[in-house]
Amino acid sequence: MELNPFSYEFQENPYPIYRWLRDHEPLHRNEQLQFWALSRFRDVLPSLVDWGTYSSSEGVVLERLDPKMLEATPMMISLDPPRHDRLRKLVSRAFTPRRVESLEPFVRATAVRLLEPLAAEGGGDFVKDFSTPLPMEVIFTLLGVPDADRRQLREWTDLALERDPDTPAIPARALEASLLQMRYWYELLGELRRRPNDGLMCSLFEAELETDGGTTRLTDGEIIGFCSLLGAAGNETTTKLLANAAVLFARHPGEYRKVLADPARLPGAIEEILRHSSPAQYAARTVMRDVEWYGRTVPQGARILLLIGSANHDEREYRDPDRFDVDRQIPEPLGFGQGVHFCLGASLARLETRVALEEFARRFPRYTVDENGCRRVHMSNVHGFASVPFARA
Amino acid sequence: MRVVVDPVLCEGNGVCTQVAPEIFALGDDDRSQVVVERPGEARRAEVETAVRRCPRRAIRLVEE
Repeated sequence: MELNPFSYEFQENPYPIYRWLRDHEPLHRNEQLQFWALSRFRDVLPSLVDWGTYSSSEGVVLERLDPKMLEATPMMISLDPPRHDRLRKLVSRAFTPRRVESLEPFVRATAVRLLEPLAAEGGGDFVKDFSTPLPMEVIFTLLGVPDADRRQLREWTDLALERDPDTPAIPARALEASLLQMRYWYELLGELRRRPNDGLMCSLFEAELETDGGTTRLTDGEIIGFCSLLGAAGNETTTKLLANAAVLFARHPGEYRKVLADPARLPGAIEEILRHSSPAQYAARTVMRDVEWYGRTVPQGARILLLIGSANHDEREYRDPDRFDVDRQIPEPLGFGQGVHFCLGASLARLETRVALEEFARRFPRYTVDENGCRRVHMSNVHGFASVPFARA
Repeated sequence: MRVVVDPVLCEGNGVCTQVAPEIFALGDDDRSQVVVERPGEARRAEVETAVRRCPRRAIRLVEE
């Protein structure tokens, strides 16, 4: 068997091939696409943590990103320490669990505003009408993106991540969208330097970046790197997580009833949704020295995929891993990664998901999903739905 | 053994404060503070769990 992350069939259901890899080729080699892959929980976890051996400096997807673009707008997701840590420190305070808690009333009001028309109609498209606009409003409000620009900017973000079947070549429409998106951020940066607002982008104008000799202000490219990264990450993954939740609960009404009966189970259920149907299926790394796995040598400079989606279904770690069980204990969750690149927005994603599902459940204690009407996205390492039609039952 | 939290790596995810609430507490800066720096051998398992489960790998055990 061969792992091709760009195959639409794989994106539809990656779990059979993951299982085969774990059992037969825990270190997998794809000659054609020139990458290696690790699939077992106990191999993926320490590799995610070991940033010195598994470097993010060439990006975390398999596609070759334009090095000029990486340099022009450096993003911490594709940097290693110490530069990664120096940049991350500037924004991490805005995303601590305590700071994020203070956003709850705003997140709830936004969720309610979006759900009211759906409740009146008795259903709609969970993705288009709810799980897309909610994270969009939250992250763009935090960043300080004006209302009028949000939809367009989010559409470019979506399009920039779209991939054609079976090929790692980035389609022209995706490249064009990422350029339009970058141009937008440059224009907004100019606008906000003249007329600041209270968003995160403006707070970065004043931020002091540590250097070897002292401190310096961020360059425009660094500020734009931050905003486009946080904008994309804040939109794409939470949208997928929420819709995965809606589909899983519809497929497992017994598990949904457990959460309805006892809302205190919801945070645990969200961890299980992240494990069972992780939006981020893998992280690519570059191997910085020869490493041995299962009697083979992965040479320095090689690209390797750390298959988080597979690790989360490893029967060596989880009993009956394909079963969706809201009461499952998950001592070492991998859905947000681990180590220096642990998802900065994890607390925000957990809060948005909890509040969104609480408000959804109040209005739709019984609902069904039209499985034939569901459509999947075809993005690089993010799996999830583009459309989930649902109706009150 | 001594427990150390790296203040740069720690982002206040609060896993350690749940796993070992008598040893760690979140400070005013939202970062984890070591309340009991030398918790003694009896607490080793608890501290090791906190080390292993910290999503940012910000906790270290220094053997003395």
